[in-house]
Amino acid sequence: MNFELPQLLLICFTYLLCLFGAAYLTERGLLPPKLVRHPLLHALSLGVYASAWTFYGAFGVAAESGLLYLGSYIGAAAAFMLAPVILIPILRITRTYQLSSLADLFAFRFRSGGVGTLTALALLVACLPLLSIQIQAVSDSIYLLNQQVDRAQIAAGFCTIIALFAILFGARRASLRNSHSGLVVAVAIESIIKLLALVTVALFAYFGFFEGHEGLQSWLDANPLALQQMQKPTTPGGWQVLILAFFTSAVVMPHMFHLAFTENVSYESLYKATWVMPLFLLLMALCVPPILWAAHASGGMTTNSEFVVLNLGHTLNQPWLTLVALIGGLSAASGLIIVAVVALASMLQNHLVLPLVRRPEQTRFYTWLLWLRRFLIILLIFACYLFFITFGESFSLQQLGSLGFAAFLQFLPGLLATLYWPGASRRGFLLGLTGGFGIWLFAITLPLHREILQIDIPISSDQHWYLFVLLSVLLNLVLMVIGSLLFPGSSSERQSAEACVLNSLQRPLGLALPAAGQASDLVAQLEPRIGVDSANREVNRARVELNLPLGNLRPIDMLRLRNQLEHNLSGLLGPVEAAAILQPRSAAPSAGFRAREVHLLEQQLEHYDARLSGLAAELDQLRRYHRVTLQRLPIGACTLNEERRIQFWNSELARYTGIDDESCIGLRLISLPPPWDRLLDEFASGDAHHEPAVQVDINGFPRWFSLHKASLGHASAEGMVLLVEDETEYQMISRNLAHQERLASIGRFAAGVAHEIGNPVTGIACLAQNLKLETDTPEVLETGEQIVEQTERISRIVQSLVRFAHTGRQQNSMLRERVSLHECIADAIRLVQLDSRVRQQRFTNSVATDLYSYADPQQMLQVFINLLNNASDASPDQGEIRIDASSEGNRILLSITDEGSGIAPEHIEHLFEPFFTTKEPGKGTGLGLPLVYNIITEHYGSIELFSPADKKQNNGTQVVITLPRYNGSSPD
Amino acid sequence: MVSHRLLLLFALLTALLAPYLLDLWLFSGGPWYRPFLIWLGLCMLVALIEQWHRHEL
Repeated sequence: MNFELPQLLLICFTYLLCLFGAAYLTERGLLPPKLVRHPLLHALSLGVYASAWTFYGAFGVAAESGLLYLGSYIGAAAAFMLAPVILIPILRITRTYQLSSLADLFAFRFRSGGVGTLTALALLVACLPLLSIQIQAVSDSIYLLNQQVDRAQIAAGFCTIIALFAILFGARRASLRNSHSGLVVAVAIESIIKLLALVTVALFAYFGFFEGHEGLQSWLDANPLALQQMQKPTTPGGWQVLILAFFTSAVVMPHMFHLAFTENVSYESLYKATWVMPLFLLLMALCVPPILWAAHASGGMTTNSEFVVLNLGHTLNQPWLTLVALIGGLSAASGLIIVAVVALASMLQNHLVLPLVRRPEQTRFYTWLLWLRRFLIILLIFACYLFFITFGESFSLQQLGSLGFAAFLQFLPGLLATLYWPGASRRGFLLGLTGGFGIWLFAITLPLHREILQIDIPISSDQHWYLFVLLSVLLNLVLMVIGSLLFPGSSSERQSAEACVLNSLQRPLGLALPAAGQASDLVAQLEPRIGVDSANREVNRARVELNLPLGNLRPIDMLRLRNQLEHNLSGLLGPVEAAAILQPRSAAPSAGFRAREVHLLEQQLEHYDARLSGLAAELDQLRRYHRVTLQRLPIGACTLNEERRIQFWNSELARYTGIDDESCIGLRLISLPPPWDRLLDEFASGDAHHEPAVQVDINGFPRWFSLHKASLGHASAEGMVLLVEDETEYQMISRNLAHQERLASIGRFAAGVAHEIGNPVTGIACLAQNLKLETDTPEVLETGEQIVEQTERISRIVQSLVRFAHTGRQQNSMLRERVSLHECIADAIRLVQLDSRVRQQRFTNSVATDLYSYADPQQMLQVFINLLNNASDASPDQGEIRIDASSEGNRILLSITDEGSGIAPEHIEHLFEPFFTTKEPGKGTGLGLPLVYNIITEHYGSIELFSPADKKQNNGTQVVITLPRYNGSSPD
Repeated sequence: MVSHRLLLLFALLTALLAPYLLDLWLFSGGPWYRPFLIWLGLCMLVALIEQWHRHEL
């Protein structure tokens, strides 16, 4: 088999160039976003799992051990089929906490930088053989096609192109969580190409060589050994270990983790992968037997059975088939190596470089981070190349692959503990991983031990490989359990563990509230580590994401900002570095439920509803029921924690105060706006548990509230619940009732007095009239005249008493009709102006002529005469009295404003009481305004007095009356 | 939670019965493509479950 070198290079370069093109078009946004973000495309990118080991190595295993080759396919297919219990929970954690690698996940779960570093190193060691296989596969396959080329040179050229691609499309942005869609699209295309390549070769073998099912069947009948070789039973233990190793590898291998979780944009793609990937792997696996048998039948089986797929084209004299297989192998190798190197570089950056190396001064942080990662990519590819040069010659693909996959199995106990066992501790994990990895290293270096120690160990790692793997995993598991039980984790580790466990709440860690502060405080905290520009940028980004204002922030907002910042930085620097940078200078002691922010817990529960089932769902429904009960309570309710910070604020209290729960949760009572700060804080601090009808002025109006409180008891230390009851309406009604009762009793008294006085006064008046007829003495006549005048005065007083007493008793018989307020006021002005003094004063009637009320016209006239008389009496000789009116819905607002001396504040509240007058003795009865009050209230209106009306000059009085508006029909 | 518990139980049973299931699946004779047909059936079943899950959402 000999292809020309330029021809081979041209094909390989063209293929890789197409890959560059696809990634470039995606990054430039030239491919439809719907296609780029399609879950199926992302699911296909997970086909990176099928590496050169699967593409070439599977033929070696199948030729040697028959169906054992299916182990790598079945293990991975099982992992994808079980995505809802393995992959989806991991995606949930990695997305919530911005974790970009397995080392990040373990470092976050066990709250330890050491765990992250050990995981990163172990993954690096486990990956080197796997990455080396890819380089070996490419160089060997090209060497097979042209024996004149140097394998090392091919490997070097391949590594250079891969490094270029990884840097261009895998390290474009500083943040690790930013999606590299170009990379994902390129890898998905590679998955399709390698599948198509293998299927093409298999179809040719099946239809082209065997001429269909019957041809193959007759060949198998003629060569029963071939089928027996394929179906020969293998060691049962080996099978299970193999499947378990590939099951774990499909999740924890850096490239798989990177594509399944770091580059993932939706849960949907993983749900799709539950059947797309098993189907993909099925097709890949199905291609193996026909190709292998076609190679057997055509005599194309060489000692190097791994490259049977390449040889087949040569044996069958079909060069194009060989080139198709070469492209397939190239895509399988390049896809894995690119993604794995990008993933490993970010892992090493977070867990090896950043904890040790400080950012150089005068360097932009993001640029430095990006170049650091690019440098690591080059370094890693160089390390792979060196590994290939050193060991690639002496091991086959199959041997190297088995080594790597067995090493990945060591992460299974840690992964299961992360998802299902919150009791696992950092020390347990470290012990387990070290023990398990130690056994693995011992197994792979067994031949070396034999040589160094010069002893004959009766077991060989080749034959008993599965025993070593099983032993290492069991030891790992046992050490982790024992270590975790002997050395339980700290409280922060416990919190992280609970956050990772399946069905846990994802609440922010470190829930102790910080003090109130400013965003600039966090900038100062970040600045020494990431530079002032980057610190400002990160803090501003987090602030904008949370919609927080500039300037002073409440404690709860500071906590939210800190958590968001840690979240964002975790995507940039990894969870350990992010947590270390934002570590509060004075760590608050953890205090379990007491220190927990109940509202934060509730916020998390609100987002968690859909995932609850069984007892948890029932309890959540109960919680919601109680919460709604409290929220909808027709009494204001709030709860406070032991620091007197508000934890709950119901809607009724928000209505009373005009402060919504969003803006006051987490505040101390004293930080509320007045008058609520003093009112609630003093009551909460005082001894009294009940405070009836406390008067508060809100917007100039008096309101009354009854306050109650109770301790929440042991459940929350000194927390308490406050109840605020609005009693304003009750107070207004009771005061009104008392006033009405006083008026009624005075009315009854006045009626009695009028009746008792009326008769003797009438008698006296008659006698005085008679006196005029009985004498001509001028003095006596004058005295009689004066007596008549005085009795008339008494009669007027008695009449006004009778009128006052009668108001409110004739509601049913009261005349109601359409009254033009303008005309009624004009009549009143005319009558009032009959007095010569009043004539000099100016009355301005600005009431619109089309404003009508539904009232008794005579009573309305009396109201206006009384009010205008009062205004006139209080006004100076040349003063102006203005009458204005406006309508508001079904009401008319009418005001009478004078320029008089005003009324003293202490008199205002007595003005509507009978017999109270500020006029000189003999000039007023004190019944005018009470009469007006009665008439207005009988008309379902109201009356209020404001003095001084002119606040600048501090004089004048304004009487404001509301009356029902006539709309064409009588209001009932 | 209930569905996760069921899946876990399923995984445990699969792990316990794995040797027998594998023997039954791969080495119980029959045409060479039989294991792949069973595998295809399993894929279709999972796809159906995934579709059902999507409707649930």
